[in-house]
Amino acid sequence: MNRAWGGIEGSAGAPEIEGPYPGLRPFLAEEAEIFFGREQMADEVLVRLNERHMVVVHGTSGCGKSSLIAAGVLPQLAKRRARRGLTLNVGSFRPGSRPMQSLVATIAGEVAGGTAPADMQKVYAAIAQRQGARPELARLAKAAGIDQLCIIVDQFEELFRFAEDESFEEAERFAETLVALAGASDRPADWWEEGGEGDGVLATEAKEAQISFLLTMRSEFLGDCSRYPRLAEAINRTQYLLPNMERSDLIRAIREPAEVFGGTVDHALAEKIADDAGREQDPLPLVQHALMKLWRASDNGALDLSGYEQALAASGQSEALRQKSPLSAILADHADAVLAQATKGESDRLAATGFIFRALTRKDSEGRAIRCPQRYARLEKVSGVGPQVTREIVDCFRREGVSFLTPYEAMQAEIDPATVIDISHEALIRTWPRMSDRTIDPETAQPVGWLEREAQEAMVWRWLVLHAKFFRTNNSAYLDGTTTDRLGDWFQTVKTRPEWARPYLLHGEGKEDVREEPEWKAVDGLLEESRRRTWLERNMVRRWKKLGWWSLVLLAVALVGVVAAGVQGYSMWSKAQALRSLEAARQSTANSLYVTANVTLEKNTKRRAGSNPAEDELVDPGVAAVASGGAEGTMLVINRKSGYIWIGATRGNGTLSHIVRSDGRSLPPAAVERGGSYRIRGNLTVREGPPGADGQPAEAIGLIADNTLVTAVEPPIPAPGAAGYWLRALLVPTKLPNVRLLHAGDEETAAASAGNFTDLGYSVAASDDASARGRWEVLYCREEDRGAALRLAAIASRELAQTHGLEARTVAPVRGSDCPAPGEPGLRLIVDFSAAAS
Amino acid sequence: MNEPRTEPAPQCFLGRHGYHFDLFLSYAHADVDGTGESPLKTWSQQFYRSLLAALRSFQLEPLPRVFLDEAPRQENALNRAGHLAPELIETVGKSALLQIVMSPHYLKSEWCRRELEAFVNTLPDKRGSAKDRLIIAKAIDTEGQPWPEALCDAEGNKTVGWQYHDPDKYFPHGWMTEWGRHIPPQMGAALFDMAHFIKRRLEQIDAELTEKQKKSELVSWLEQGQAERIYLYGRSDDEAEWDAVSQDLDRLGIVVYPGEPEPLDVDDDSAKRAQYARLASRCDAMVMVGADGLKLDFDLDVVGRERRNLIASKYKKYLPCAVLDRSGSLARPARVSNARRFGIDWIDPNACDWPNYIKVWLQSSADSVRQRYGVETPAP
Repeated sequence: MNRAWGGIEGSAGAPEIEGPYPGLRPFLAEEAEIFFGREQMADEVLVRLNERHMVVVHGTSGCGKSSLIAAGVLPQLAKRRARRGLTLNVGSFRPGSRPMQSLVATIAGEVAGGTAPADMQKVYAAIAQRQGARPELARLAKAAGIDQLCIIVDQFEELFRFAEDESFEEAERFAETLVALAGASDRPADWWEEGGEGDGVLATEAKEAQISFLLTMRSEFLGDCSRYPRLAEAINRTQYLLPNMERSDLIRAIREPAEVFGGTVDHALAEKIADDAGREQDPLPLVQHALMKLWRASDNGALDLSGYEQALAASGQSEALRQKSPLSAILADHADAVLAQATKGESDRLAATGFIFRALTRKDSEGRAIRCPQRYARLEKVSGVGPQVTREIVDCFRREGVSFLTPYEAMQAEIDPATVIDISHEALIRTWPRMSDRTIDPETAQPVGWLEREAQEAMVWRWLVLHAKFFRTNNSAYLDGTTTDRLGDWFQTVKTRPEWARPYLLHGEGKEDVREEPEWKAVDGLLEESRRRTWLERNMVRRWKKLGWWSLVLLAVALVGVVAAGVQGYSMWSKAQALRSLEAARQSTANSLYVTANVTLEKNTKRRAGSNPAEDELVDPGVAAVASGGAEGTMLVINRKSGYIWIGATRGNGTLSHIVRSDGRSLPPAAVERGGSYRIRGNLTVREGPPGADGQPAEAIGLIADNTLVTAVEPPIPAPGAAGYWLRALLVPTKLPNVRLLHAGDEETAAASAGNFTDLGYSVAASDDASARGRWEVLYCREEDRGAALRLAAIASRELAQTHGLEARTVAPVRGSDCPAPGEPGLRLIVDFSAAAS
Repeated sequence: MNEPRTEPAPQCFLGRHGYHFDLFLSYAHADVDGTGESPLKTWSQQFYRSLLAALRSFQLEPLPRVFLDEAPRQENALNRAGHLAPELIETVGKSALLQIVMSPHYLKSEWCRRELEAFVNTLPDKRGSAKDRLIIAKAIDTEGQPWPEALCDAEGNKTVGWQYHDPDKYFPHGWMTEWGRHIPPQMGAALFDMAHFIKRRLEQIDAELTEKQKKSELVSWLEQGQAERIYLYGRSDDEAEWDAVSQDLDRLGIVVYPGEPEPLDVDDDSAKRAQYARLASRCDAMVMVGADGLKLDFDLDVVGRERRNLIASKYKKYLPCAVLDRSGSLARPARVSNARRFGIDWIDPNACDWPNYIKVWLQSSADSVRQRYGVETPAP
């Protein structure tokens, strides 16, 4: 039994209550003594309960349903029963995720808790009966020494969520059982059924216990009840819409609790608070909260108007809020103070608190702020600060006297990962500027309030998911540059808390890690691809502007090159592709290599079609290879993706050795920013990931040539256990095939060279071969190896020149006649190392 | 129409609460040429007659009374305040509500400014809550002209009021016409709605002041140790005890309710319980007959606390309550302290001059009743 309903059986004793005002949380059963102003309503509920055996108390959220039952109805019922020497057993549950089980367990638990032993098998059987369940259970309960059994179903509306998410059938059975047990349906027994159910007369000598059900529900769910057979009729007969408190009752609720504790609230203050309550949407919790603050701040328990005005004047809230909603201002002030305690001035704690509160709120379809309870385990995931700090933050907000989050410390001291955490009251969401402020922060261009930010980001995410779906079918639907920049940056922050996205998945597959969800991958893919294209287009456009008329010349050269290469599809070239060729031209002047882009989507399509991914990454006939403006045959067709490269250690002046700014100036590691463009120094091997903790490099996935521009995906990562840095970058690695190295000359030099090629990502099998003497060439056999041969030739020229000083000749690709056997390396690199510098 | 000022003892709806007029009609004469006549004055006077007719149609008793100043005012005269000022200001102070006929002329009029100022200044001293005391009838368009602060809300927005001209028209309906008893149809709805609002506000003030007066009377009644009726609670199985106390009170001339002790099953008989509560609400105090300790413990809670709270909520009646411990053996410290927490006193007849002590007890309970009702302590 939840503590809210506990402790009602006892008679009057000294109150063990903290103070006369519970603040935001509802009243507990033991607080009946300080519960004033709702006497008429409690009486009405009791009258109905006596006559109908079931009462559905409904009203808006936060109107005090739970308090009324816990501190009004049940204590009164218990005392009335005790006055006559009758026993009352009260059980309570929320439908939650196992309504039927909870119902049975609660009833059985209470019957078992009677003064006499009960046959539990019979109890279970009685509950399961469709007809006659109520009298049978009443007899069993009576036999167990119980005169009245009262079952509270708190937050009955949870049943409708259960029906939607889990099982409508079980929900239906639950409703049917409940109605049958309560005897609340007015359906007359059909002629073939056993006769009507007698209402147990409540007296010590009666043979049956009285069984009653008290349900609480939010009024907006009344309509949902009609979907369940006989439930609607039962509700019609038993509903009680909780009215607003009259002003005179409100004044009593303000003044009288203090008197129980020997204090006073002066009339002027009570009138002022009642006036201010009239300006609030759901005033009761706010009134209780303000009084609790005043009571705690008071030395002598004499609360007066001046104390209230001082508290307001001292509040750090805006003049407008203080004028318009003084009670809200007091709440907001308190919330700010608790926030300051919870965050201790640390920005990561502040961010974590923001994400916790964002996870706990939502806007409904009409834009109203509503609560969104979460399991504690999820809050740990979205907070991004680890279990201990998350726990500290959550505990800070659920302390007694704070009660901004449930379960309140006063009701449940410890929480575990499965505990459902909730915001205690929607008033907090609506009135705390930290949550609800809609003004746009000029720095971040985002709303200041967490709730607003959450709502906006949820919309962005969903839009991205939908767009990513569209992008799958239409590869030209990538995002434009501005959108990519903004959303790309935003998505980087989402990646630090992937769990955030879970509630916004349109069709989640329930993966443990949100990043494994197809929708996440689709969004990631869309942004990655959009970033790649944006980068290309921007750089090309910039070049175009910079180069002026020269660009036209270069474009012409590029076009001529294309024609010369005999590539088809001129008419298919879009403007973007023309720009890409321009970029290619620029690259060629720097590298003697031509670069062209591949389209990820086409690659994906091909993969789905079952072709060889290794080839897909290299050859893209749709985009076409671009012919060289330099040495014949030095052509590369490469594909841009992300990979890790070693960008070197810092040199004496603190700058990195293997990376410079795009304009050639060197830079320190701290200046490498996400999204920035940098130029590579030296041929670098591209690896799948950063080195492991042991310093071992990850697998090579290709090569990135000297002087190529790359885009940093993340800031540099310090190399484990060594000086220097790794960088994850968007780049165009070349995928390297197996090579047989036939060499002449110095064996050792040849082995070193083979090692160098292996380091670059080639698989090299080297052998001494006399026929290599005097030859420097790459031999290929099949036409499809031509591209790879060209690339190997280009790299080998550079490699042999740089490492072994073999500058005299350029390695040239040659079509050979003797093809290797299938499975054998398709390329042969034939080099005479005789002239190599040792 | 001159009768308001000629009557020696003014009778009006709120007259019993010390008001001389229910409504003071404040309007600018706009008598620029000094002839004593102007279209706005004519319109305002006709408006006054129509409003008065509408108000009187609600059949309030006594009939509401509205003040209208018909004396000629020369806005441009040198001595603008004139000798009438003190008398007018006094009348404003004795009026419950201020009805303003809004026009550009009103905003410029020194007379009207003084009337408004006087009304606002006397508001804190007026009896009853100060809210909704200014009624604005928008006669001539004042779009774009600032209103006095007193006529705007906290955020500086003009009070909504009732509009008597079309949104796109400058002059009100019935302008420059003699409408006599026939209100121009376009302004009928606004006039009726406004009159209804005034009527409701008058009734609210009346109810508020009547409640206050009744409470004061009750408090002073208790202060004198007087009680007309006392609710005597006892269980039917303690009939003898109950009868004895009932006779004691009867001898003092105090009527005892109900006529017999309560049966126990009243807890489950809602109709009976409601009747007992209603009876109790008609009494001046409650006395609980203490016979058995255990029973008393439950009764203190269920009747002494809960039922009295229900009566306080439902009938707005606070009943002073005491346990009469005839045997003198029930007054265990825990029980007495419980009772005190519920606001229940303890009378031990053996230790006092019972039943005459009841007067002393009633006098002593007067303070807590006063405190609960917020009735001010009379000046010594």
